[in-house]
Amino acid sequence: MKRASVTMVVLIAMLASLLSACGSSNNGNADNGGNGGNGQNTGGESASGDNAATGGEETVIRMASWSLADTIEPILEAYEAEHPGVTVEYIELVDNEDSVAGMQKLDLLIASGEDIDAIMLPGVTDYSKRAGLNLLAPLNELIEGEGLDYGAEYVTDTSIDGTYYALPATLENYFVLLNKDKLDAAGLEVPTEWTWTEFLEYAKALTAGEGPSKTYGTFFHTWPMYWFLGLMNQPEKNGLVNDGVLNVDSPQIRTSLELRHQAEHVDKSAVPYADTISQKLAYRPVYFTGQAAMIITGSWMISAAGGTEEFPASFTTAFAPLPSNAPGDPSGYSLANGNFVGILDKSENKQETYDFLRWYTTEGMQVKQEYSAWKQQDTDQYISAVKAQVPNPEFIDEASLTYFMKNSKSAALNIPPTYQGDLETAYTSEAEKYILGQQDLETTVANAAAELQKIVDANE
Amino acid sequence: MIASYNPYEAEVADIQAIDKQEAVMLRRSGRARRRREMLAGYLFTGPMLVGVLIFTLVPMLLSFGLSLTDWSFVTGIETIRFDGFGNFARLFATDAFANSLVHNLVLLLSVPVGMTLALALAVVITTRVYTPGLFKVIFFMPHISSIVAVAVVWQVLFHPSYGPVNSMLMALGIAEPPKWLADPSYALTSVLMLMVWIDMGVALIIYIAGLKNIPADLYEAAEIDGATSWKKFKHITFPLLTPTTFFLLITGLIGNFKSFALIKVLTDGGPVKSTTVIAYDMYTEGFVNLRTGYASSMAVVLFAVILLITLIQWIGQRKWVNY
Amino acid sequence: MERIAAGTNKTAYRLRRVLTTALLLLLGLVFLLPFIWMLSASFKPELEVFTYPIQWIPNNWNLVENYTNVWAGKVDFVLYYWNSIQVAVLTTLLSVLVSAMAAYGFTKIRFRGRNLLFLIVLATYMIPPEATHVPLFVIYRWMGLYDTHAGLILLGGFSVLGTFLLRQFFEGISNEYLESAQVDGAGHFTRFMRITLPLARPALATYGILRFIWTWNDFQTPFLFLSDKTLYTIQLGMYSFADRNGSFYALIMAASVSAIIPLLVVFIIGQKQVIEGISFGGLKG
Repeated sequence: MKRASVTMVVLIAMLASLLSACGSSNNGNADNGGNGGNGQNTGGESASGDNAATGGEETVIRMASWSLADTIEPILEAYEAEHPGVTVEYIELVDNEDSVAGMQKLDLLIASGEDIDAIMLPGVTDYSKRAGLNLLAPLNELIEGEGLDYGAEYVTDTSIDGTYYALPATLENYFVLLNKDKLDAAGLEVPTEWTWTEFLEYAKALTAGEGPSKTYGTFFHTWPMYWFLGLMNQPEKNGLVNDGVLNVDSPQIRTSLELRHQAEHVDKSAVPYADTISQKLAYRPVYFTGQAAMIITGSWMISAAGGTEEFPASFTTAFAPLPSNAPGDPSGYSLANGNFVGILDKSENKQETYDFLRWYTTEGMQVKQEYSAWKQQDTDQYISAVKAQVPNPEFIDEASLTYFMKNSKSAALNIPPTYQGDLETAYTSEAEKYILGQQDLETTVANAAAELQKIVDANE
Repeated sequence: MIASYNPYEAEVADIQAIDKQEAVMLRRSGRARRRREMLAGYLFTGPMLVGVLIFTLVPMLLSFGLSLTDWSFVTGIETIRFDGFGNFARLFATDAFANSLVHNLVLLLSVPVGMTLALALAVVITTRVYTPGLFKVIFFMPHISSIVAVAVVWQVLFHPSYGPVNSMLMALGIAEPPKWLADPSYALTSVLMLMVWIDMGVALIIYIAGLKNIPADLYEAAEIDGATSWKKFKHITFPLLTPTTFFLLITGLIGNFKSFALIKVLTDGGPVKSTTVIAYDMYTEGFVNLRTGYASSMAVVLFAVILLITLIQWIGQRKWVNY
Repeated sequence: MERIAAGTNKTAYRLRRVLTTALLLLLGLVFLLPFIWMLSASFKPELEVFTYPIQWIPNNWNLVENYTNVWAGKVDFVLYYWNSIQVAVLTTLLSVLVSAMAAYGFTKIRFRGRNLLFLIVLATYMIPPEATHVPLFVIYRWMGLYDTHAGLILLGGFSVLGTFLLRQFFEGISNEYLESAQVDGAGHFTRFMRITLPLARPALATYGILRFIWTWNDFQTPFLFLSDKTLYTIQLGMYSFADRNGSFYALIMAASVSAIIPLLVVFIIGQKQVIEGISFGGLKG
């Protein structure tokens, strides 16, 4: 027994030395985390700590996101050029801009103690979740210190109960993309103001053919938002739960569900939901192959309308605002979303990071030619920049795009509760039963309201 | 006649031989020899034990510990809050968990079905066809093809309106064939069928390796006695493959229980939550909703269920597995 | 008379064999479909990948563009390919060796606690890897294994499945041979190397094939434990063809078809080992 345990010890020692040998071959990245607290000051040369005295002058800000380094680094360099003494290091989390995978990687890095000052969040749900975990530093003092009038600077208001945990970078609004060639063929105008009833009429008129080659008026993607379209066009209170109050047993939700039902089952003008989920249909191929003439989508698709390498455009795309629920309702509004940038609460360079993020969300966005939440952004310049980048600018209908961009109104940013994911799953599940013919509208609304209330209560 | 090639015979002889040998050995050297054996035992199993300790056992125990806490892994160790069995109470209070557990149990069916198919094919391929090598590759193909491709081909074949399967069903007079993946009552069955399709190849090549281990002279002796194919299968092939079958059953059930990659690619748990499994829920809670403690409690329950199923089989093996 | 009977028997036997082969080929087609679809999709322009009814033979060929895009595009596919070969080969070798040793220990050596230890090892297989990711990630950072190939190799190399599989096969290896070697004065090491391993060649080859394939196709482990792009494996590389603009199936399939080739090579070489392995019957006779 004794000898056996000696053997074990020897084996463990052997394995440990093997591991450390393997590890030392490449641990530049890992060491940054291991150093802990003051790692930022050394910026690579971690010799023996005697450069700590001189290290104070150079500030290193470490920023992480799912964006490609190639697209971010030129902006960081522009900032460094304007601000001597500051270095911004960029951590590229994934190499294909997949924000879901990127956030997963980011969470693990933060958990393992990697030094990160600034992080980017891909949407309001992720923002709310991480703010709720106290991961992000409150920015109110920094904003006051700068004397910034937040409301005059940004379109979207990120405050949660009066506290700002992030600044808005890009702005996402939603609208309808229309295949203008099909519109012209059907003798339809590009709408500048319309209701869901008119949307459904358009969809019906744009539906043609039968069988596998049938083309539809519209296509609803599988994301939860396509189940509450009647909320997305509301100027305020456009969440499933607003300030802890459920918004399911409401005319907006009924409109949302009914319009889906009408399009799929009565008019047969929308791609059937069964096809969408069983075939994992994605909105790009469906739209660009002409299988559906209209899709409801967001700002990131503006440039795609001019074609991409994989999805070349072969027809003109026009833009229209989200339809409103009834004639006379406020029109032109869209739910706002976007990317947000925040400072990790454990960062030791909060002021420097804040200064950088202020620049990044304003001038930086301009340099990057992003559609941003900065009120001073130049819409015309943005449109011409988009057109300069795409392979087929002639397929972007500039008149309707300009009209839409200048007249669209961002709804107040609705910061969902931290348990938004649970709400959406529960709601989607009931809505699916409805569209798949398993329950009627009233049962759906009643069940959804009951299920969601349970979740709200559990999270009180 | 058949008894003359009783497979147990050789085994029994083996065991007797060992016992005799051991008795002699023990008398000769006694404790010193036992100690040497013990050392050799640890030496041979040592590397695996150390590896398992570091890479699985320690993380697993840590994860079990987290199941008693209310914690999100992104927020740092200092925010861990002990919560007793609160997570488990919440877990058992939800319908979703029981739902997923039932789905898990249904999907387990794919293991015996796949194994039966694999065993039949293994016998046919090794003895009754030309170009057995080619068939091994063909039936293994779904396992090495990209999971996306496998899912897509399935989607195409089972397209609710235009797919060949439903066209055939409609031609046979079934007016409203199931919508398969888009149908809450058939989605789980679809996943099950697909699992058989993908994993059968693994059981197949393991069975083929097992067949290779059966002494040829047993079959020769049986043929001289004029045994039919079925009798040969029943009295030689099947009994001698029982260790392989046991392995495939245990690992198949465990693997089936804990994996969710296919479900993630194919259905994401839907439609109407009809294809959720515990591992999928655990992943969503842990990495999407960032509730580490809650996800860990799911891992513990999952582990307990698998352990129970495996222990029952382990105890039951004496009744049917021939070593 | 007898001869004629034997003759018809032989014909009947052949006929049956041909029929069985044909029948099996038909069934095999269903199993080949995913691969055929992969091939077909990899030849098409992106927009035609999902047209209905399915076109098995592309209308428009985009073969050269797709494969050029994969092999010489913005993604360093050649490097990822090479990384994957390294990781998969080393993982397989390590895993087969460690598993075979452990399986030998668990079946052919009698020591106290043997069964309990084995059950503990098996129990660690009963938890989804995702459940241990967080602790493992922290351990990896702490040990310096994060962002190294060594980390991937060790994780795959100490997989429990191989130990269990080989244990089941080793149980079937006649103890007579081992015992006779013991009489000749050979220790466990000799018996393991000279007798057990050669006898278990089919099982070792089978496990080797599986481990290689699983390592090659593993996405989750490299995704979590690598961040340096020069260390990326092929699955991470393939994933680059799915970006936030959606998945580009034509490219993904061209990459998948390219990635399947080493697997086929390993499978065919491995199966040759299985066939050529000495049957125990031969030894016993």
